[in-house]
Amino acid sequence: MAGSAAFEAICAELANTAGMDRWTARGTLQLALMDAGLESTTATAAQLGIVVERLLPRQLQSHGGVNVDALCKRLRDVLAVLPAARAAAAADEVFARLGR
Amino acid sequence: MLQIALVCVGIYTLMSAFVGARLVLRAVPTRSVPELLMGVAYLSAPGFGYPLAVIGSGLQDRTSGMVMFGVGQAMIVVGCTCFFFFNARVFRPQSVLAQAAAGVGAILFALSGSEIVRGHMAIGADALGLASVRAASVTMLAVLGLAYAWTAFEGFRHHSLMRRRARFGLGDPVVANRFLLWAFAGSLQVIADSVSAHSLRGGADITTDAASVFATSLVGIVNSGLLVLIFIPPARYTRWLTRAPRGSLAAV
Repeated sequence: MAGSAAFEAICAELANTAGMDRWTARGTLQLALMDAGLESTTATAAQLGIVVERLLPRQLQSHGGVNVDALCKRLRDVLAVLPAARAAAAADEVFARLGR
Repeated sequence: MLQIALVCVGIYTLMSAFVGARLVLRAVPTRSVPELLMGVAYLSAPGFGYPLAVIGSGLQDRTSGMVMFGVGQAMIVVGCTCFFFFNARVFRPQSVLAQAAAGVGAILFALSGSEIVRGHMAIGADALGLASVRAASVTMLAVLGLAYAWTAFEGFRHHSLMRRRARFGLGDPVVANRFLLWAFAGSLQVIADSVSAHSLRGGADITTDAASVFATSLVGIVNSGLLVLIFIPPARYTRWLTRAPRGSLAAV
């Protein structure tokens, strides 16, 4: 199942890191998203920014030879230049509207 | 007891019609599909469909009664179909399986509804005595129960996700609470549907069977309150949720 634009962009950047293939990158990011209660299909750039800042570094520690700080800075740069693509409304957006 | 039950179900009908109309009116100018699906679901099935079907089956004038009953059943099918597709579109938008499940539910509902109408056209209000009509009614209740179980599961799942997000400042306590209330409402409907289906299978008339009437009316009145808290929450309630200790999801 395809993830949101922000999720896919971060996965692609992670997969470019030495010692990580596409599936390891997706799995690592998925684990961080699960810890944050987010889903890959609807995660926005803002939400992923928090994941990269607060959760991903811990996940990346287990991958030997990765410069975690430099990689996370690169990921933040990727998120910063992402166009504001509007994904399909997530369930929480719909439920926020339902009670207005 | 029947009169109290009628009042409870009547309140749920009025609340559903109000909530449904409000959602449809908001959905039309914004072309928002989830609001439209949910609005039509509430307006069509509990708002008009069930009352029309009940009144139609009790009318002395056979022709008017049949028309009213048929229109009521059609509205129930349309409303429940919208509810199935709301689940699929909002909770599993990328899942082909979810869209297929909603489609299968809609087809089963339409077939069951037409069988019930056919039975009523043949022998009137006593149609529930026919095995085919009874089977169609049980099928409808089973499909609806599964849909409510699905929506309850999604509600609890999203509530859990929102609580996890709260640790990182990402969760909205009001929305998290809405998911929880939604899950409770779905769970209660599963119970009411199960009781009614069990009574039907045992040969009882669910419009007079004590267990069915009690379950339906109790769930009706509780869910009326939940509809208010979910769709038109009073300002005091949302303030209470957002002003909870630690300013987080503690109250949810």
